[in-house]
Amino acid sequence: MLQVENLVAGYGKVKVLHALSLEVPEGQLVTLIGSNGAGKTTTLRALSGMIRPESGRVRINGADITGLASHEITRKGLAHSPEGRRVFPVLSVEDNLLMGAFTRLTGSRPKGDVKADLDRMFALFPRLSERRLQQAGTLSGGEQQMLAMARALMLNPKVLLLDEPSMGLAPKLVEEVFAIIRQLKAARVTMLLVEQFAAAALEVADYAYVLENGRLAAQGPAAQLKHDPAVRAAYLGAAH
Amino acid sequence: MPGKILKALGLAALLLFPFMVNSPYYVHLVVVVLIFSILALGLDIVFGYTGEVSLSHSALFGIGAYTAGVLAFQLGIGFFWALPAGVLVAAGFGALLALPALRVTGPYLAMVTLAFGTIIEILINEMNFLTNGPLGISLTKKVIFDWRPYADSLPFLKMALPRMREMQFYFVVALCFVLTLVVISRLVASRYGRAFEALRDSPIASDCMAVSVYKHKVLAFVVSAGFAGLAGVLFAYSEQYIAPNNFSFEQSITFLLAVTMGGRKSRVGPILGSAIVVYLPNLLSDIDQFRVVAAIIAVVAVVIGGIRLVRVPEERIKTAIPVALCLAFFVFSLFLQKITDYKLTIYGMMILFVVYYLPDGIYGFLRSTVGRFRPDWVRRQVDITDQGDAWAATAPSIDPGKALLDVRAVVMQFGGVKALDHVDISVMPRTVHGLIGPNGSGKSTTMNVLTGIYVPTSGGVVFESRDIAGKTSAEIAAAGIARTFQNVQLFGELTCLENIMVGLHHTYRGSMADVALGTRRARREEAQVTARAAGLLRFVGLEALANEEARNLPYGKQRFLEIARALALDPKLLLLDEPAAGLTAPDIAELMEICRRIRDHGITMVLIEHHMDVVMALCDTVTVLDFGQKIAEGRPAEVQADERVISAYLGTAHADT
Amino acid sequence: MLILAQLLVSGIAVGMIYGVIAFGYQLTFATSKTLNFGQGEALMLGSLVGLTVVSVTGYWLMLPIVLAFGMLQGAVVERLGVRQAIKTRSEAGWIMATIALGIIFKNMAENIWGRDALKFPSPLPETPIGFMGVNILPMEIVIVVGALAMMLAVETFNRRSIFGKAVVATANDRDAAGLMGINTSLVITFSYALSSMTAAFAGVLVAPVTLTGASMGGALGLKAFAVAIIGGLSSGMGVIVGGLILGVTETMTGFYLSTGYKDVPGLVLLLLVLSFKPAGLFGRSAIKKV
Repeated sequence: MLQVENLVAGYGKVKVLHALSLEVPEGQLVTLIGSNGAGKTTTLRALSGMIRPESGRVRINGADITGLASHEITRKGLAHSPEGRRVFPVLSVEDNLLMGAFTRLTGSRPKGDVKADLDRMFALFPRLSERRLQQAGTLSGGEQQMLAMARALMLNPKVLLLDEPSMGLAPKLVEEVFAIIRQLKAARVTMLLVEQFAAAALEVADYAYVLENGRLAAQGPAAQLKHDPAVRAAYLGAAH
Repeated sequence: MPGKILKALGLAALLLFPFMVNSPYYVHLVVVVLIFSILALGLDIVFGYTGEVSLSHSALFGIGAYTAGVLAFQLGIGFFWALPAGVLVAAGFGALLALPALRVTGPYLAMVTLAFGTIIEILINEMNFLTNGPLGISLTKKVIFDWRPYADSLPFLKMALPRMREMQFYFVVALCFVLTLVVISRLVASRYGRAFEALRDSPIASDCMAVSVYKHKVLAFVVSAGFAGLAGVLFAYSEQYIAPNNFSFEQSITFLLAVTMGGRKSRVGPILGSAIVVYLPNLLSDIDQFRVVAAIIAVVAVVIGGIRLVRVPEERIKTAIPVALCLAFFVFSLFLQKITDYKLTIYGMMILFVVYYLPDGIYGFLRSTVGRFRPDWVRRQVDITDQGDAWAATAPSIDPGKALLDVRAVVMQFGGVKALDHVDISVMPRTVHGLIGPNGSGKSTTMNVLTGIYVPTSGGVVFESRDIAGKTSAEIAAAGIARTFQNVQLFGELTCLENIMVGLHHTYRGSMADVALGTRRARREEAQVTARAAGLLRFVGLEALANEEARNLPYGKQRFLEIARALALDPKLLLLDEPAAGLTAPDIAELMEICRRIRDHGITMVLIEHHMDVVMALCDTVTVLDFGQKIAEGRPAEVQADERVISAYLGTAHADT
Repeated sequence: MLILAQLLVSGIAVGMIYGVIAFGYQLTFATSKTLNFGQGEALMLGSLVGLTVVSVTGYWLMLPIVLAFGMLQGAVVERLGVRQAIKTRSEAGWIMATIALGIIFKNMAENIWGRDALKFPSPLPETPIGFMGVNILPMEIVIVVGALAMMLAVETFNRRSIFGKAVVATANDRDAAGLMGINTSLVITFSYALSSMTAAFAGVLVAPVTLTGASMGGALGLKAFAVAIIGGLSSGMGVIVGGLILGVTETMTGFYLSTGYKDVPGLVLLLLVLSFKPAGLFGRSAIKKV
């Protein structure tokens, strides 16, 4: 579904990604793990057009989306729940979700039943339904994270990018977020999950890529990588 | 050497001009150009160097002019007293505006200066008892030195006899102009000029180099206002009549246009720009002449556009737009009948054109064009003959048994979020103290609290037995804490050498007067600082790039330059915020080597880093943060094995681990 | 006492005009952190275009035409003056460019409509209505109602319609709005169009009471900025309150001191507020980040 070939990206003079290639097959959950500063977030930002890749190719379903602006990429069916949640603080929870369906409501993507999807999201995230009309800025960190995920899902995306859904959340909430990711996986949503908590990510994913300093350090089926010492080394350095 | 010849030629032309040209009209025109140049050169300090848009310079110009006018009109005091009075009064008003207003920047400052300008214009209009209101004030130039008795023996004086008064005034203005040129050239080449540029490129880094942004902005503004006042006095006597509408908003725009069009951050630019804006109204009064000029501009644009089209064909649309605009301008000139009515439209279009297509002005464009063929002609080149020692003569004295830095129960709250929650960190002297933790755990917040960018909600930061919480960044830097930044904060348009010299700002003892007068002391200090900066460059292996602009350096070298700049502060404590981020493996090895040598010089370091190899190899003690709380502390190997640390990094798996 | 009440009433009408223009500043500042230094000229153009159109269509039919013209003018300012500068993140760039466009518009207006102040025909009788001893012009009531209606209309659009919500989303977080599929550059153009539209509207509201002319914009734009600063660049209520404060102070100054000085208190207020409380009297201060 999502194919990335030799992606090079960064900020100004700083190249963060050096020729990264990866693939997310339809209906699968692929995770991208690695330590802080390895380039995970940069990868997602380059895929969704928040930064412009310097070179390489990105395809969705075979269609080339390299170098398009982020609103154009969204219209091709790629949703991105960004790092730091980035909900719209002044808008209500419901309006945030409607923004997720903006392209559907304004005709650049098939409309479908937005109302039904809204109800589906509130069923999936019961905490949000209680706060339907509350301003998103007043939600707790965990609730905002759920809102960001729900908002991205409102696109009915072909591919969903999730950036560190566990960041800054208390352990109990982290578990809740992962429970939802499992549900989405069961519903065969195509996902690329970026995580700092490698153990938890490997637990849910089908396939994993390990990123180190902007290059792939390892890849393989998630179950295999779980016991790979290279993963631990990528985080904490080789034991001395 | 060619620079000196050009300067001599310029000076000679300035001296001989009134004897060569017989028409008083052209002499007067040049006088006005020189007066505008004085103002534009001063405005360039604010607009070009510190990067702030001031719309108050016509008002400051007016204050100078009216100081002269009021002194003459009300008190009968003449030109030579008016000159210093005008400078002081304008500088005083400049300070009155700058002290409160320069807390804000950008559009806010532009609006405040516009408001100030409008108020002054209203006051001049309304305060009839002082300024004679809209009727204006007339003054007369007097003969300064009666040279009639000598005219017989000196033929060139005799020739100029009928225009004695005008000629003398011309020379007074020329003298003021030359003095302005000399003083401003010295000022911008000194530590003040570097500070002005530095605070524009990165205000935060300036403050953290003990170069107070606010203080230097006010200084720049006041100096600039003084020159505007000088220009005002000269203008009043040159025109012999002033009225409120000489000092309107449009006049401020004209000055800004002169500086941007001529070329900011240069001496030639503002003078060139002033010549253009003074001559322009004359040009506009003659429609045929105007059409010829428009045609020339169109032809030049087509030629330059054509060359560009051949060189970079992929940018053809980008190239075509300005060329089309120039052609349209020519066509427009054919249709116009009464061109003077469109003066402001033409000014406006010129500003738009300059903002988009000539951001460095005409002079900047010429420089970069010449620089493409002969780079050595335009490069700022400082020859480093003697390289000084990188380290200060006296080593910092530190009590070895006591913690150098003590962070005590610091809480940093943003809204409802506690980014730091009762964090205690104690850094012992001559150690390397690591600070690690997952994203969002509060490391950078800690760094910002330590350097005064944030004021902690509660708790204390004690450095060398003094509480520094709540002090400004500049004060903390002066106390001996230097830092580098996660996202490199160099002064991009300064050279490597100049970047470090900004760090050495604190070592100067001479005053601004020393700089302006070019005293021996100022020159000696400058040489010493240059030598020491060269030594610091050598310490990080960048001596070959001394004259390169910092923004052109490869990323890794930028990080090293930033470390050298921080060392220039002679810090007791050096804070490094992710110095290895984005570096290649060989760069990281070099970085670690540099850090070891810094430690060997007895400088204590706090290191935030994600590359665990670097942390493990360098640090004596490591503190781990998670969710704004300290979860572990100890020797690197202990911390690495700590279960809580591992789970903070990897997360706890649920099923089978 | 009666004089005071009279001054208060005229002050409120003037203040509402400032409020509307200041509201326009807020619209563009919210989406792009930029504002139009030629906002006063947008008002002036609206008013003069209105003057030309009004003789053909009458006052009420003229309004939609002027509003459409204002939108167009705002879009032009954004495309020519602001877009490129946002891309290159050049603050001095957009400040200079919008100033330049402002003086071009003013100069053009001088050439088309002349330099003198012109009388704008009032749609309502110009005899004041007596109300408890205070004289109120019917047009002053229209100003207050019209200004409030305009602000309310824009607010309703932002709160209710999906495109309005997209504007708010862009203002909240431009990158995240892009991820929603919102074309944020277009939203910024649109916010400039709306901003100039409110200014043009203010122009035709105020013109029948004062006079109109090419030079009417500068001082109004600047004083409205003072109001935007006093009220805070992000507070909707703030601009109304700020506008009223300034309007009343100004009429008082004009009456008790001299009409020549009537612009001074607003500008002094601007200086003081920006210097000592830059976020405005009603705004919250922002946390600076590295």
